[in-house]
Amino acid sequence: MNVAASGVWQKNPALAWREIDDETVIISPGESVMHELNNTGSLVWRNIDGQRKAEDLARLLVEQYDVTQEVALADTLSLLAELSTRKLLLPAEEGAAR
Amino acid sequence: MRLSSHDSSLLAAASRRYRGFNSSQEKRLSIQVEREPTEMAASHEFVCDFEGARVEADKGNAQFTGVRHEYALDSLLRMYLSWALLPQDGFLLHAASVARNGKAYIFVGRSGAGKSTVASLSPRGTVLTDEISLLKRVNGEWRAFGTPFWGEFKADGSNTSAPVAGIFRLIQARENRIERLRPADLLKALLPCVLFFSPNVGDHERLLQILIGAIRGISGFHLYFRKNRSFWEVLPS
Repeated sequence: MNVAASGVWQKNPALAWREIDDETVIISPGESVMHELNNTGSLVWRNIDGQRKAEDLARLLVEQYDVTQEVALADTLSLLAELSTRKLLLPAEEGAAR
Repeated sequence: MRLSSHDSSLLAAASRRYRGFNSSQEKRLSIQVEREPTEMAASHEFVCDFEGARVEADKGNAQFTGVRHEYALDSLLRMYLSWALLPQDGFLLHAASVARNGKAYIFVGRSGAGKSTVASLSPRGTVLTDEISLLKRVNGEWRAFGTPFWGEFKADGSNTSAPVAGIFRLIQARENRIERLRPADLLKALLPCVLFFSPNVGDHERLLQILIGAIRGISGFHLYFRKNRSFWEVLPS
């Protein structure tokens, strides 16, 4: 799946999640599946708010970690694609319409 | 809990199976059990189906219908309790609980991990359950309660409780040792072993909140153990 740098996402509202020790645990009640995010994934997840673009999220990684914008953006797009494939994220406009 | 039924044979079987846990004085968990299935007439806070049987529940009251055998009753009861414990800061866990020196040791693991083995290697009368543990925070203290759910041990659970000494994730090995788990790792170890059936996201959020409280208040360990009584020597007293 290709994710655009200008794409805007929001968390699937049908999920339960908690952060603990810089990690995030996400539960999909419908599927009884647990997902885990590490510290960088958690930073991205925490800031997915239906308004920030993928490139904005990547910028947060640059501010927090010793990484270039180019690498951060590639990692962010990869993560967003993965989260979208697992239905943990929805395109913001689709989420707004729910 | 308080079980009642219009079907005397069903009630007799249920009373026999859950003796020690079933009280006519209990007011918090009142359960009506019937053999005949019914169509759901109203919406309920919690609904769950199991092989033609159904639990419909609201705060403090539950109705089990379509219960044709003890196995269905047992399954519905697990489903219901997993939800009914939420307001009490409690949850059910695939784990054996063994009381020792006034503390409860929780041995967690999926089928085949060694829960029944650990129970069978423990002195008679000390096993709260070899299959499904009930953990609940009471006055700020995490306690393990016996349950009427058992696995290979084939013995009634014990309707008592004890403060939790620790949670131990079972890993069969050639040596006995323990390894402290970070809270996040304990949570990830617990989640696959928690019994929970509600499809409601709000219930899952509440469950996560309770589990976070549990891992903050209870020490967790990997327990690498040999299949003999010697594993007790490496457990914290």
